[in-house]
Amino acid sequence: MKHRTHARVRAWLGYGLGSLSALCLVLPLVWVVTTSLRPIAEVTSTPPIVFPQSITFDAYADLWEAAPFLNYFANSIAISLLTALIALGFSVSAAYAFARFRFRGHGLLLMLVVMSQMLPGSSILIPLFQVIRGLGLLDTRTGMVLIYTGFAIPFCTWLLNGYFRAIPEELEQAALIDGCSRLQLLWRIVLPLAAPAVVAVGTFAFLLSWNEFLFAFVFTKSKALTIPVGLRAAFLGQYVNKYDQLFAASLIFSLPPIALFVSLQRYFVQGLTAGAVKE
Amino acid sequence: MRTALFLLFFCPLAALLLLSCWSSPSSGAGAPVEVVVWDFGGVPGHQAWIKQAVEKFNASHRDIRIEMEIRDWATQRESLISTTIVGEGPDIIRVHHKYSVEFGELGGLYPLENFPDFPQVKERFFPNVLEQVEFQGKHYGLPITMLPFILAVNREILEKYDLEIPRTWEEMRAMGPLLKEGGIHAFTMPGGVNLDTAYRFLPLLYKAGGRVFDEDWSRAAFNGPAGKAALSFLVEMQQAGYFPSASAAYAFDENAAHWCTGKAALSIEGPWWQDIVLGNYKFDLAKLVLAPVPGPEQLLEPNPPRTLLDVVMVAITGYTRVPQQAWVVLKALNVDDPVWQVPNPEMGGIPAHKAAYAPGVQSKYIGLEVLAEAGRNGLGWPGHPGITEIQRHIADAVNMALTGVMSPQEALDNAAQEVDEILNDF
Amino acid sequence: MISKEHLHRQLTPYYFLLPALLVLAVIILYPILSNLAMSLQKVRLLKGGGSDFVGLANYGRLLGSNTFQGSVGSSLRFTLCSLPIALVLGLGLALVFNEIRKYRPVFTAFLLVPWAIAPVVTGYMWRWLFHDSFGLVNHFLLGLGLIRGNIPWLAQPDTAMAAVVVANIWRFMPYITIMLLAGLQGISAELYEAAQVDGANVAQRFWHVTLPQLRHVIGVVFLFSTIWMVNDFGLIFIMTEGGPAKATQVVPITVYRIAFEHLQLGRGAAAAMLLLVFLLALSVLFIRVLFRERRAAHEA
Repeated sequence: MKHRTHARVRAWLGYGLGSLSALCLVLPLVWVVTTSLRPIAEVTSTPPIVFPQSITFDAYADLWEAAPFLNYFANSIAISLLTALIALGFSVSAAYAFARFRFRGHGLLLMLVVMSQMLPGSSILIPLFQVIRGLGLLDTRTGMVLIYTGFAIPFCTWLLNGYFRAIPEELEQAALIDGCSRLQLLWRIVLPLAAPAVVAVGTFAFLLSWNEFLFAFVFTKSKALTIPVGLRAAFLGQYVNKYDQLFAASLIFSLPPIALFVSLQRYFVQGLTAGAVKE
Repeated sequence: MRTALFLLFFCPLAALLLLSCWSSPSSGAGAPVEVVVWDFGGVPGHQAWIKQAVEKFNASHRDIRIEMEIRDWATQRESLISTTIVGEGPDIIRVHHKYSVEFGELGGLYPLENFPDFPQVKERFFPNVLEQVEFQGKHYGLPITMLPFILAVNREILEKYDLEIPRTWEEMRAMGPLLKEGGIHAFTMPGGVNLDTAYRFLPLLYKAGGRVFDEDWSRAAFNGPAGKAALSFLVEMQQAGYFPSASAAYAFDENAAHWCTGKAALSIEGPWWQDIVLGNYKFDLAKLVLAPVPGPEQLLEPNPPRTLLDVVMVAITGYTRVPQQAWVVLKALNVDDPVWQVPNPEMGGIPAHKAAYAPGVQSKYIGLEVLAEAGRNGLGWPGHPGITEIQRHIADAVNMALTGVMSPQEALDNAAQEVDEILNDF
Repeated sequence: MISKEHLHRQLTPYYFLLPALLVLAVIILYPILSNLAMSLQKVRLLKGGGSDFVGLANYGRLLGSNTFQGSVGSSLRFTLCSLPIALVLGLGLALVFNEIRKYRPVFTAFLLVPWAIAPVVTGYMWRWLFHDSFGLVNHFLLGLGLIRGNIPWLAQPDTAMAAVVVANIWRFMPYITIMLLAGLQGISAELYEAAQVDGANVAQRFWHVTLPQLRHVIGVVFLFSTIWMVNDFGLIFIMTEGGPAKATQVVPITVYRIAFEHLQLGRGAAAAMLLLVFLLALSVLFIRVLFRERRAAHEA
């Protein structure tokens, strides 16, 4: 009897506190939403009005004129998708090598790859600028994809490596004996089994490029401008500070990652943590 | 197996290569000569004007075609650096005048003396403004817009408390107590870690007789008596409550919000103010009055008091392949266009053209006489190659003093030390 | 005699590794080496270009400069204030979420929101939330009676640091909570039952079962969070630009300012190298500890 009430109390506490904390986490965003829906004069009123007195969708309509926002959006989507795909491809390949083979330099290379993600962006900013400029890839989508792929590979490889190692080798051994090539193996057997990790890795790479600011800020000028930089440039010009439009644009901009997270949640969480926890 | 690996390796590479072809601009060779213009920044009114001006030009000219790109004001320096190093870029740029020195010397900008009709064109601009784009006897751009710094006054507040527009720092300080009772700051200013801070400090420095460098530009001079007095004045106002303590975190927009919502009576601003307060905050322009920036009652250093003047110039790049055509475009857009013959608040600055101030010109600017007078008396930042860094150090010093971390003299001396090193490096 | 088949088998792993290693060589290895070289030079970007070899002079000037020392302090303060609080809050949240059986995806969706929002947006959002007159933070604190007048958060060194720490903790909640939650779920129920049989109460069970089992996950979270926090540029830059009075100017911002505002590329490279070495040392230390843990767990 006591055990059951105990369990019920725990459940109530859980749901109660859980809802409260979820709300607290989202609360700052509520302010962003309301700011985007009200005229700017209301934004700067003191004391701050929490609930908008007059709702207007002007910000959402006008923001498209402020900058080639559609271009930025297209750039962000193209760059992020390509980064996700290519980083995924390269990482799966490398992680498979680390997980299934024994070769000279295995330990060292793995450690180097893993260490690479601990790099401060600022330390490679300048020399990378010269490399990219030398390759003629400044302010191009290709350049940004290359850079972000490089950033994503270490973490992705490490995660996939952990996940692959947890998959028993027997299936692959059997397939090898049957005459399957390594590539077919990877494609047909390993990847489906590692689906959660693949999703986690792809999402991670996508998000990394979608949200990245510093390198986009330095490496793009107009053609390959992505949204984080575009937000800053378009709505926070020298003397123009349209916060309502900025937040409206930010909300629209946050939708793809949120949609991605929400729909792939289960796989993402499983993939992210299994690689780290099961080690 | 081998084919599979080959594909695995090659496809992404091929994709990347394709992408690079796709994202690079297509260059076409046509009959009209192409002149590329990069217009950095500019308020919305300016951007609207230049788009239609370019269209009009292209429609009426068969031999020249303008390709214009509007870019972020904040990126102009990086763009200048990279294009100058690479030796390739636009033909005409619209940038801050300080780059005339920095990049004129390096060959990044084209000296206008090369054009035979330049002396006549020169005549149409104010002489003191022309000095701001000159380096070692050559002019590296045309000063199109000038932005003199003036005092923006909320007339309603002053009338409510029966106060006169202050002409000296002492008068500003005297306004403090009365306004404080009403919960209003006498003065507000951006004091954060950004260049706007330095731009509000310098007008006060100039009006007190101070200068940024000494006579031969070998040492910093802004930490002299004039600078110290100006910064101490600000800190005292802050400590007495006549100046917001939060200003140490203010960038331009926070300051504007503070003034526009009637929480402060005075602010140091420029020609852009009228349009900003109307457009962003729906401020009632009937309440706006402009006045010259106050100085101390007694001059603190033996230099004539001047107004701080910012100048935006249009220049031809040093590596351009079509200088003659660029000159034609430059004159058409920036000298002869009717928009420069009448000062227009939506353009972000007042024209540096003498014709705009001829008697009989009707302008929508409030306080145009104040602006024009300040412009004619204006002195810009010294044209030193490292000026941006120097501005940052001055802004840092003001920020330090306003935060209370250092005393005004300490903060200024610190900054002066760094600036001396920069001056030595060059 | 090595058969062709054997050679092929030997080389196969390298084929698989090649694409990734190639990209890493271009994007990471070469720039780091180049950075190292540049840190030993005085690079003249303008005035004719070129560079002079100055050995360790850049490092000397940097380590002696007040600004750099200050930014190291700021970085330490930022990380050491954010991390423990974020870990504790994250653990608490994970424990709470662990009790939720139905509709967990909904709750997790809310949880993930701070992570999905771009750092740029987070920065601007918190900047205005902490505004002295228009910000909601002051509004709420005043309403609750916790403060008597508006606090100029971003204008004072200490409160500005507090503000960026709060924003940082908010941003890290999703990652930390999810990792710890997964760790919690990995603890088998038998361990708890055994402890209960032994007479342990809730607190003792937490201390003797939960925490030890979570050691590995906490270690991983600690390592990655530290690295990401120390490296972070965007959030603080947008909130305070490193001010006021350089109070929040962490090392990445200093590197940016030296290299891109003062155009001292050599010194900027040196600062970046110092940061890198610090992080590498930290990671090596951690990985050693983690591997030792894992080996111990395997042997157990």
